[in-house]
Parts: sequence; C-alpha cells; structure tokens
Amino acid sequence: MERAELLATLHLRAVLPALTDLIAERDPGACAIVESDFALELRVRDDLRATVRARAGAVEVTETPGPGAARLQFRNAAALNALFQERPGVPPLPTSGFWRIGAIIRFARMAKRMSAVLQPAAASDVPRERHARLAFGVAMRALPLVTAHDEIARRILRSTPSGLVLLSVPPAGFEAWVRVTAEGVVTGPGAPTDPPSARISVRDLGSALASLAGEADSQAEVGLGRVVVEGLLPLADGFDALLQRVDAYLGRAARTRS
Amino acid sequence: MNETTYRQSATLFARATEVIPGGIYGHVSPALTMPGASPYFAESASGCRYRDVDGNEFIDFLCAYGVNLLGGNHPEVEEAAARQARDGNAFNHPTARMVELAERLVALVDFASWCVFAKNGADVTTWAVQVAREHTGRPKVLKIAGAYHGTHPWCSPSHGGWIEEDRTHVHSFPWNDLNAFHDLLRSHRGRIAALITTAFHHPSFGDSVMPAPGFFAEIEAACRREGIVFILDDVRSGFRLHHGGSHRLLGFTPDLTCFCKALGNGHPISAALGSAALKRSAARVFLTGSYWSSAVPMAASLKVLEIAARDDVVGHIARIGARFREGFIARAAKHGLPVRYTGHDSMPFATFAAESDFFLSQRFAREACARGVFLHPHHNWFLCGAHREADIDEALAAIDDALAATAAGR
Repeated sequence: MERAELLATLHLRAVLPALTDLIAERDPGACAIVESDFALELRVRDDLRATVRARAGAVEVTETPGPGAARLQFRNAAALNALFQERPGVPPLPTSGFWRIGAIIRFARMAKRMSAVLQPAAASDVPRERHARLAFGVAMRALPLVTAHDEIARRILRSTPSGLVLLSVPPAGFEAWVRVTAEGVVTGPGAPTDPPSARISVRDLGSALASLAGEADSQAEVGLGRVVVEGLLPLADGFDALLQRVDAYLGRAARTRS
Repeated sequence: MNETTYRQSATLFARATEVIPGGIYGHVSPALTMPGASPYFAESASGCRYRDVDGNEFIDFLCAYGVNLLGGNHPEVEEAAARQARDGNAFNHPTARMVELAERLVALVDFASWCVFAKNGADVTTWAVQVAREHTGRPKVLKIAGAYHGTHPWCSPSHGGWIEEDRTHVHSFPWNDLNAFHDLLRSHRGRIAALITTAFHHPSFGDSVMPAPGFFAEIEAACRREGIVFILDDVRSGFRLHHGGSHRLLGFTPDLTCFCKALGNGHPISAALGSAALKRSAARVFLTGSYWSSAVPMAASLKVLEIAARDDVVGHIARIGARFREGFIARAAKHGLPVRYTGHDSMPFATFAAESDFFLSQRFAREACARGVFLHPHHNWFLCGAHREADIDEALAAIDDALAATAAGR
C-alpha cells in the first residue's frame, strides 16, 4: 500500500473514530457541536470511506454509509490527507445531500475541535490527560494498520516475539492491550483478560506527552524511572519500534512532510 | 541485606540523558538490566567484586559481560599494561607485542596459522565474513537464529539502523536444527560463503543450549563438502571452555575463529585466527582501525594468556561454576522455584521453570542485587578466576534470601 493510501486509511480508521472518544470524554467543545444530529460520509473510493453520525448526543464512526448521510467526495487519498493535516489541498465536493450544509459545517467544527485535542497548541484549553488518552487511543487503532501495511513495520514484526503487552498511562487513566503475533497486531482498550507477557507503564504524564510528540528517548525514560517496563523486553521493544512507525505517519514531523 | 541506594547513579544518569542518547546505550543500558534497582555506573573493581558510584559492593557474576576472565583490575595484568604504557601505547607502527601475541595465539589454537587483531567482537566477526566472501567469491552467510554476532547491519539485534538489503544474503536456522540447515544448503547450494556460529547457543532473553550430539560434526562435514568457510564466534566463550578455543572442548575444527572478551581482561582487544588456506584471502581484506595496533592491550593480553595457562583458569571456573550450579539449583528447589539452569558451568544462565516472560527472573535479580550479588536477569552469567569457594558460598547465602523474597512475592 502506498504511503498516501495508508495515511488516508489511518485518518479514516484510527483518527476519525477519536470523535467518538471525544464525545465519550464529555469534551465541552465537542458536545456542544453534536446537540443536533447529523451524518456525513467522507469518501475517496468505496473501499476508502467512513461515515460520522451524530445522534442523540453520541457519535459513531462506521466504515459504511448509512441512510441520509451527506457525502464529501475527495479526489484522491492525498486530498483527504490534506484535510486531516490542515494543509492546502484539492477541496472535496459535496456530491450527495449537499443541501444538508449544516452537517458539513458541524463536522468541520467538530474536526477542528478534535484536532485541537489531538494536536494541542501550547496555550490550549485541552487538559493534558485528555489529549494523552485520545492520542494513545488513535495510536492503538493505527498500530494494526501500520503493522499490516508498512514495510518497515513488517520487518520489525518479524523480529519481535509474540505475546501480549499491557500498556498503561496511569496519570492519564489510559490502559490498552496489544497482542503481537507473527501474523500481525491486534489492540483493544483496557486490561487484557490473559496475563500479559510484557507490561509498560508510563508513570509520568510529561513522558507520555513527549512520547506522543515523538520526542521521547525510550531508553532514557526507562532509566529515569518515568517508564517502567517489565517482562519480555524484546516484545516491549518491538512494540515501541512499531509505535514509532505510527508516529512516522501521524506524528508531528510527519504532518509537516506528508 | 545491604542498604543499597543508587542516588549517585541516578544523578549521573540524569546528567547523561542530557548529552548522551539513551543516557547509557547498548548492552549496558539500564533499560536492559534492572532499571532503578541496580547500579548504572561503576567505580572500582577488585577480583570478583566491584563497587558502584554509591559505594555499594557486589559479588560479580557478570564480569563486565565476560570481559574479566581473571577478575576485575587484575594486578599482574595491570602491571604488564602499565609497563607497556610507560613506553607508549600508540605509534606510527605496531610494536613487537603484536608479533609476540600473534605467535602465542597461533601456538594455542590448533588449526590456526595466522592471527589479526581489532578491538571488539563485531570487528572480527564481520571481517571474518568478509574474508569468507573474498575466499569463496560467494555472497551468502548462514547463521543461527537469535545468535548475537555484534552490532553491524548484517547482524544487529536492534530494529534500527539497517535496511532489508543489508541482510539479503544472510539466512538463519534454529540452533541444533540440522534439517533446517540442510534446507538452506539445498536452497543456496554453491552460493554460501560462510557459516557462523557460537560454540553453544547463549542468546539474551533465552535459555542457553549446548550443541546436540553430532550437530557440529555434521555442520563441519557439510562445510568441507560444500566449500563453505566455517566461522566460530568464540567472542563470549573463548578461553572459558578450553584454553585452546571452545572448538577443542566440543570436538570440531572451524576455518576461522574470533576471540574478544576474555582476551584482554578489560583491555580492548579482539582477534581472528584462521587456517593456512585462508591466509591469502585474509591478506586481501583491508582491516584496520585507529587503535587496532595499540600496544597496551596486547601486552595485557600476553599476560592474561600466561596467567590463564599457569593457573588453569578454565579448570577453575568450571569447578567453581559447578559448585555455584549445585548450590543454586538446591536453593531454588527449597523455595519452590525450580529453575532451568543452562549453558556451561563457566558461563551459565538460569530462568525459572514456571515462566517464559522473565517477570520472576527480573524480581529475583533485583532481590539478589539488593543483597549484594549481581546476576543479570536476561544475559548469561560468568564465573571468573577470582571467584573462590568462600565467594560462591557467600553469594549462595544471599541468593537463598533473594529466592525466599522472590517466592514470597509471587
């Protein structure tokens, strides 16, 4: 899969569902936007699309369009990526339900709020814990996709032992599991039901944020005690290397060069 | 139990992270040992004990990852090094020490007719592969899956710093798996330059495994038949299993062998030795480094080899290692923590039978460290010439307490 295609997939399957998390977090900026119901499909092709549906104050993101959704048709993956990266690009065309302009406006406001939470400015009103929770959530959704389609990630996977990782960020109240096998990676929220083979606990919120910004030195963080890694270290190391591949697509540096 | 604190280590490490990637990098990184529960920086060593920068003292079962064959800061070796240092270390030319050391090593290693020197294990394992390619005109290299041969792109265990093309011609098969070996032979017949292997399998994060009966005999026979250069990476085990090279204990003959670790007892030196048939090819593969002909490590190495032979260090570490093994296994069983005790007695490793993910090993290593015994949770251990029965017994008493604490915390 080409980089632009994978990036568009990540935007639709990993980043866009953060809207659901944002509402679940009761983020006031986002909740105000979904007081009215709306549905909007973002489409490049039939196999590269997603629909955001706000209903009764909740938001769901699905891969297939439901009834009554307005549609934004993107010329190609790069055009969709430009929207998510807030860069100039060929604008999408409203090709279906374009009279429901309110849906587009509300989505745009919500997307802007999501961007503010995922990529907060220095003087942001976004609580750092919320940013960490949502951004780690995006990373966990992105991880299986990147591992499946990125060549370097496939190479990393081949030299990573199989096992179950528990990732926790106690100061942000975040917990997720990652199952690594030779075939790929599966992730899920919360603690795993099986005992993990490796535990990674990010004890310091600053370290978590630095990690999300692609600025953390993992070995130094462990030595300083800000990150505690126990169990099968090669598995944790492989997981860390895979997360860096996610960062290569969705991280701050990637946003400026894609 | 010692009052072990690591404040100075922590302070130094915090400074280090400002100016050094990772703070401490590579195999000595705290991230790979017992972060927060072991020293990060050492201060001094004497025999089988060392002190960290906080003044904590440890009975050492890592021996600088195998470097200190005779024990740390050995007085006779340091005197030989100091004597050479008074005359000088680096010159426009090598010194007579280089010839003397090459003659000594060639006399020790039965199949060798020549010797070259470098600084680290990876210098010579990588060069040995180059020599094999030069000699055969073939590209392929066979190695054991999970074996460590250094940090160069063809073999680095890290995820970073190499590209797929670096390993296009490197193929691995599992240790002791002759079927997989023969499959590779069939797949790449006439294209294989070298087979490189350690004397026994001692991967990090895994149990050690000795060669199965007939494993090396069949490897050697196949290499002879197929014109493949057989390289022994004796970097870690050299001069520990046998004074003439580990192949002597295990009953096979390689074409090239690589030494490092024990060779200088702390002074930076490695060596590759080869058969007469490879000498001309070896001469064609450029080999050098800024400090590779330094005289001090060579003077130290000459003294190490002299003492190792004089004091039968190989025999001593095998005997003292057996005492350690017996005591360790008995105490682990007493506390209901059966272990897999693997490898050679001179460089053993133990993991707990009930696990494969190292949680218990990590807890045990932390408990042992807190009681003044340094045992790595993920890397094989080393006995040295300075370990005496009293040291082993003192360590085993502390280990007994550490095992009790580990069992209690399960």
